[in-house]
Amino acid sequence: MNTEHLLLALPLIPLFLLAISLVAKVGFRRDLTPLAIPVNHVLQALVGVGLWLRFHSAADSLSVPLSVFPHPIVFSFDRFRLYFLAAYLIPLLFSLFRLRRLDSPELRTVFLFYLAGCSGLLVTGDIFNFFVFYEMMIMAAYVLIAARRLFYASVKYMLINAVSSVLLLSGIIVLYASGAMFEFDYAPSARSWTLDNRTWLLVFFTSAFLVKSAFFPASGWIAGCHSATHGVISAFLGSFTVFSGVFGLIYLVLNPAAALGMETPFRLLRALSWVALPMAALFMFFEPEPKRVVAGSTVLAVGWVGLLLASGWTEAALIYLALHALYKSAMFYLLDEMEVQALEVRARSGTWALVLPGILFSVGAFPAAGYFLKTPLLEGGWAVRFVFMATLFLSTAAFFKFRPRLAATPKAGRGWALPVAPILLGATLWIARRPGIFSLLVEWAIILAAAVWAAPLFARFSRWARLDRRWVFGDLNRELFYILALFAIVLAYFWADVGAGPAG
Amino acid sequence: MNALIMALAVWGLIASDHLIRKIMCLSILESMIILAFLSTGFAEDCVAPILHPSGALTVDPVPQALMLTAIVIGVCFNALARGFLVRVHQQHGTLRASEIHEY
Repeated sequence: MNTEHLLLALPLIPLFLLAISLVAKVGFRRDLTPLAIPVNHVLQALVGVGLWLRFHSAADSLSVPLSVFPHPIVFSFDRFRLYFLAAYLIPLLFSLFRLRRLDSPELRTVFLFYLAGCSGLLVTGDIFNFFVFYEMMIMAAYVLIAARRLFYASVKYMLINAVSSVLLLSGIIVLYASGAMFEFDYAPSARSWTLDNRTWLLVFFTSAFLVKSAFFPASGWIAGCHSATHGVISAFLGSFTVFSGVFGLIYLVLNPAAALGMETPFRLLRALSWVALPMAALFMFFEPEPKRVVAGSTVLAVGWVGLLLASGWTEAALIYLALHALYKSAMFYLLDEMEVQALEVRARSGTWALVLPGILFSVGAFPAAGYFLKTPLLEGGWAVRFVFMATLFLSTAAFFKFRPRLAATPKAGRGWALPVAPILLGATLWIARRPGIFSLLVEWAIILAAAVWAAPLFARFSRWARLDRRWVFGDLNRELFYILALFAIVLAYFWADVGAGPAG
Repeated sequence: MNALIMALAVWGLIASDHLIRKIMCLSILESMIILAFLSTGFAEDCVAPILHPSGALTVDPVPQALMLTAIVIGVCFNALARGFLVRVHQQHGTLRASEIHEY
């Protein structure tokens, strides 16, 4: 089996198993999904290992067109996609410990469909194929979010992602109308287009992927939608699906913009990320449920990834993304083992032992492995460091405002914690760059202050609980308005910065 | 005209409180996007590729082929959305977004 076969195999494995399961169910009234899903996980993990071996030290990328006709379906892979592959495989392997949560054959069938969409997205090499696999993934996600009968969360997710898909389709139209092409690498052709066409293309793609990635202010939906379903699905949504928007941002906006010598998307991303960080931390603090806090921390992670990308540190951003998948999956699974009543959270001692590394990861504190990736960003002056400190305090306090209790009776299913614990603790202690001792002391003082004052601070301002809904997002109408506002901001920023005066 | 209908659909999507109207506005928006894409392949005095032998002037078939996919996606989206809206109404007793408060 060569590399081309591996690329094709990744999305075909879940599709093939899905087909077999459907035939068995419809034709023979046998449910094969409890077997098909673990088989899929094992096979895809093996394919992932093969792709890692081929690409981990490769400087080139591989493109495989499926036909010789114009505009063929193209599969592609490169070294950077390995991080997205890791962000996909981590929740995939975690899900082996919680498959019983997918308690109906229909849910397991849709889950296979979802996995096919995710894996196709990883290996796609043309924009229309990207659109098709993305829609495949997201359609299945709509159903999976409604697994616990919280249908409004799913409807909200549908509306917001549909709007982002309309923006993406608009960008595809501009791309085809300008260059009659669907390739990711459109920059060489784009040099001969008008400035208006290039600008409109980047405006549509930037807007679409900012919404898909849940950048503030298009982020009100994430806490509710990601926390509405089982931990198995929440882990995938928070680790991979949201970051498929970052995938599009890198390959369809930032890389072409860099090739065209355009700084506008980078500056815009930096500005939005610095706003997103404190806002995400503020809303996390005022979330009264731990699962919503963890789901909301994804906006924080997206902000950090955005900052790293805007600074040109793509690999650092992708490393952070892969680490985020590890601790986000662990946190969602830990939450499944907790009993929550108001602000009191009960869990076993082993669960609590894993929560602390997860919190350090989530807030980006030393010695969590994600910390060192951000230290170059903090050399931008006192304002930057103030925003970071405020974000650190609020996001840490968001976790520590809950009162931990030991569970009276152990719940079933502790087996997964034993193999995961050393991985999570080891990753926590991995240090690749030593921070300055003063900044380290300041950060830990902030963390301790947050731990001590979180509960009384939240009690004092408890009437502001769900601040996002009271103050900013309100209801679905306002959230949709903010998406329009984000599009207007992107359009105005490009217009002012590029000076194109897009006449359409 | 396309742009005007799209603008009305966007306005309806944001201004309308009723979820079914939002879905309808989204469908209209998607249809206008598809129409815009199809119009990029249109050319005066050209025919459909399937009707004439090679050498004849034909419209660009690529947008038509690709928009079939988008139409199918739109149909699935609508079907799923409306099914969920039935359940939302059963749970909350209303389909007005401002009256539905999250868990």
